[in-house]
Amino acid sequence: MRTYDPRHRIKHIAIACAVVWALFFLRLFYVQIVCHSRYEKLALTQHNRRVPLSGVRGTIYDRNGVVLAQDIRTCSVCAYPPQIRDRAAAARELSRALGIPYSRVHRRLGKKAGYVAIAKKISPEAEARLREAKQSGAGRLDGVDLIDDTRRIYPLGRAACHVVGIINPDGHGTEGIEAEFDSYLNSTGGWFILARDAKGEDVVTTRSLAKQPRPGANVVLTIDANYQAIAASCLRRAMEEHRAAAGSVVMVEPASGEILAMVSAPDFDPTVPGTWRRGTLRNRVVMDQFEPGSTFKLITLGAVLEEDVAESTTIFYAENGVGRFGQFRVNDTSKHGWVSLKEFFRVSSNIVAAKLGLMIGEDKFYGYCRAFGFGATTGIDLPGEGAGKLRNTEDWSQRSLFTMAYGQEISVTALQLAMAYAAVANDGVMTRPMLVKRIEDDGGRGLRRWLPRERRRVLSEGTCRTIKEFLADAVDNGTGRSARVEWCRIGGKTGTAQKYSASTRSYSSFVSSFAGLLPAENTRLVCLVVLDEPADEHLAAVVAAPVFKELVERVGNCSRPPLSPPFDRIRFEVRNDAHVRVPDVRLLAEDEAARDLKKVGFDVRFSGVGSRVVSQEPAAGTLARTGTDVRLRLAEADKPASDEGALPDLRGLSMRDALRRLSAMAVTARVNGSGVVAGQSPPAGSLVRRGDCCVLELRPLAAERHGTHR
Amino acid sequence: MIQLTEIRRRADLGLMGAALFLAGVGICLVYSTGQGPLAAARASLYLKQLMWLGGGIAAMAAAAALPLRFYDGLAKLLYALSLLALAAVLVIGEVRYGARRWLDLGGFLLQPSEFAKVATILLLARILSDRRTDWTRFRSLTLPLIIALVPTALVFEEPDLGTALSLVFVLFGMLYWAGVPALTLAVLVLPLASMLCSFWWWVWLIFFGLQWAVLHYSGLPVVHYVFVMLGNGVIGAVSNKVWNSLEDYQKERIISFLGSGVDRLGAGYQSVQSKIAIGSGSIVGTGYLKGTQKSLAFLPQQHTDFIFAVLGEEFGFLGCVVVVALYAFIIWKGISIALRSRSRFAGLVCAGVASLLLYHVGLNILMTLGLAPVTGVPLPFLSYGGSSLITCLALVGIMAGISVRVHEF
Repeated sequence: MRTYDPRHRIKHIAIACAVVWALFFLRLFYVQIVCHSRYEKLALTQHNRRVPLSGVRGTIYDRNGVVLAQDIRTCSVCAYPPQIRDRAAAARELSRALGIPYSRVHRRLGKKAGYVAIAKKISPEAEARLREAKQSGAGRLDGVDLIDDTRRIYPLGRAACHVVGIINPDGHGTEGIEAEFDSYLNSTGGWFILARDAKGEDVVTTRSLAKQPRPGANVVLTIDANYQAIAASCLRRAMEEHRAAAGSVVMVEPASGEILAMVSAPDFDPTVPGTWRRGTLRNRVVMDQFEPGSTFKLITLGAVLEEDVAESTTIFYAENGVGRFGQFRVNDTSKHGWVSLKEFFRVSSNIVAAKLGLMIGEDKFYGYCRAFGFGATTGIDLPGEGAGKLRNTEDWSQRSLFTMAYGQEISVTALQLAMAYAAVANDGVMTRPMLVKRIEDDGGRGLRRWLPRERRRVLSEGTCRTIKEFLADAVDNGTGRSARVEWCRIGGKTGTAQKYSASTRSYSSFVSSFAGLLPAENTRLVCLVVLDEPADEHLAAVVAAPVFKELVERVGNCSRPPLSPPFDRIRFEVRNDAHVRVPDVRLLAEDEAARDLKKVGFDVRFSGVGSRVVSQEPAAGTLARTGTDVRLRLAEADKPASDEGALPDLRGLSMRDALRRLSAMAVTARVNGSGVVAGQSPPAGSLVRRGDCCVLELRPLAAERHGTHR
Repeated sequence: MIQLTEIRRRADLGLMGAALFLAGVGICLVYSTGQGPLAAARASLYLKQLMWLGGGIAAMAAAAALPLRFYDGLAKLLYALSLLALAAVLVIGEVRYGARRWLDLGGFLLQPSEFAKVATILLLARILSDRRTDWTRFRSLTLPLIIALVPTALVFEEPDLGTALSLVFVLFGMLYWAGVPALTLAVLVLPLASMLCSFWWWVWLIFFGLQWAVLHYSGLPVVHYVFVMLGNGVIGAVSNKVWNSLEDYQKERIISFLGSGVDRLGAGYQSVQSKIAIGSGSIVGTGYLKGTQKSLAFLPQQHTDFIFAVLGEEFGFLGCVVVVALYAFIIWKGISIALRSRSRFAGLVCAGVASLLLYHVGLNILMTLGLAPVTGVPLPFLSYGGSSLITCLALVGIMAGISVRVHEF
């Protein structure tokens, strides 16, 4: 009998065990120490979901707290085509709710993609209709989703488009104040980390990190929304009446240099990108340079009086309409003989202006032009400001001096010209044009503040008094008669400039302008109207002055007329009754969240079960009407997690959907064939646990269709 | 009879202490998996396990106190009872997770396959301890094979592939210990290996190379080993052909029958999640109760089959090394007791227990580490489950009892 002594075998057994244990240690060392960082990263990526919190862009207010641009909460609609059961029905519902053509929606839904955008930033009414349709739609709109979004509204629309500007789809300002103060207005995005369980559901853990988004700062402009709207409508009407190519209106408060209105035409709709064209986007008040014509005689007059070249009673010969200066000829629109300085201004004689210019002399005239700020930007807070064109005296031709004296051969911006008139209205002191009063953060704390800044004195008070008298006289008796209003004595000057047209290479078109002071004494408002290339009439007395009159009439009737107490005294709280910011209650407990929301004036509606809020709608920081429902979803924190679940009926689903359902239960799937699920093993309803396997039998879609449409 | 004082003096306290320590660790880990909002269903399982531990300690003490003769005599009865229980499972068993493995005894779920292991080990030991049989002869293996394969087949039918294979592994371990030549065992295993390897042609080539080397250098006559190799080649080729001729759904049926959770090696969801859990543990772990893989329910079967991954995540490399070393200690103790005992029966029992533990520990840990397919075997002492815990502690008790009586015949 042959038997083995186990003692001989112990060596083999020991070696076998040693191999197994060595495998343990090596593998443990490899997984836990060598590859630790890789697995830790894998764990983090599958456990944590970084939820971006988008902030709200700052609001732009006018001087009285009227909103000029604001972010409001809105929704975008998207769809997940594989989840849509009945494409035609879904398309019908969508097209009814959103007002988009059925065919377009139907085509979009038919795309072979996991995700398609249906409509961006829909209106609140459309949103309400869609939500209702989703609830009552009996699953027809399954696979259609509403995504929180913000939309920027511009209550004044086209009226303030150039000043306020626009933002591009990325949310960055590209024009106007939106561009100039983009860094202030921009919000800084935040995020918080949500733990995610194996089913992909959010779990609030104590370790959730959060960085709150910071809303952008609010910008308060010097613009008065009333004036702006009036200016815009007057300009639009005048543009239509005179069929002008372009136009601009600017209103300045002379004592402070604050811009009360700034309108440019043609304009664009800040919410309709189709209207954003090169011509319409141009803010002509600060960008366009034009030869001002007679309105520039103000500078000539100021220089003459300040330098004592002549007095108001000094008389000049107006050459009966045709003056000869060396080889050059200067024409007047009407023939005059001997005129006093006052009469010269009243009738706006180019010939006398040319004579005065020659009397002042090159250097002094140039000095006054510079002093009034021509040839240099005013430094207003808008992008792309033009400096105008004022040549150095060395570059002047023989005719330059006297031509410039009546406002040709120099180009200015409307803003520069308005500021020159404002300086006269301000008794000779130039101020810097102000468009922004202050920038405040979300809580109303001031970040930056602008104060009226005097730049320099250009004329003495006495000279200004005389000029204002002349300006009033020009309106009362002279070229500006059509601007006269009954309730107030205003001063003003017309200007009809020839415009060099590059296409015809001739001075065939005109720029018609009117600069006015309201009232002529103790001026509260300086206004400049410029109409470029009016089609029929070109004389400013006929074209620009009536616009001014209409402006003044309407401004005088508005709720804050220019003759009411100074604007500066009236402060306002940056506050908007209609919309309130929704506080961020995410991660708060149920009662805390409810308390926070009720405090601000919202109603609360909860969904889900749990101790903490995971998501809210409207999103935090967006603006919503008080009294609206804020829907809060609670984390299913004490959800009884069972290891096993009943397998759903997957038949008829697409492979993608079936796999999604299975992966939600952490059941692995084995797929046979392609198309839609025709059979499954184990069958629907059987208990499965995580990691179990489910076999899916797929059949091509066509066969399935055939089957269901029997 | 041995006096109680002697038992106290000679009892292997180290062996029982290690087992109890592991059971304590297991309860801590089961408690950990019951924490958190997602694990409400498992919240009180540790209390149940604590109860099972009480039962296990009693079973261990009783098993240690009973004399060797008693087991020798009891073996047949136990075996018959467990076969009955296994048959009953197939008829009136409780179905959980798609398998019929449990008997409902008034609220307690009993897993007869666990107890069948004890009975099979005892009966095999009794048969193999027969010194009159020449265990080197092929024919002598018929009875042990039948004894082991009947419960194996019954367990396989449940289906519970992991436990069924454990009986096969124990059979081989005990046959080896009983003196069956390694070559005989190899020839028994080779057809199965050939079947498995035939699915990857290069693995099959390597297999044949190894097979040839082993058979050639073992001194077997050329005619014999060529015959064996040819047979294995035919078996592999035929099984491959048969498999490939099956319809997909038939294959799926076989796969899902073989193991409800069998997953491709290292690539499946469970395996990946287990590796992530262990890998995030690093040297000292994330700390007790702080494992996120566990608490966010990414780790599957975390209180049973994948409990080692919880250990790896929360206690890190150091914790794993301690536990793995304790398993090595217990198995080494078992082998050394088997070596020391003068009774052939006692030695075989210890060898059987050691192979059973080796099988479970090795397969479970390699599975959690992504080195073995996911076959759902519990980790002895650690995994939640009353039948497994009580059985394991009783087996340790038997070994401890034998260690007291190493001099008995």
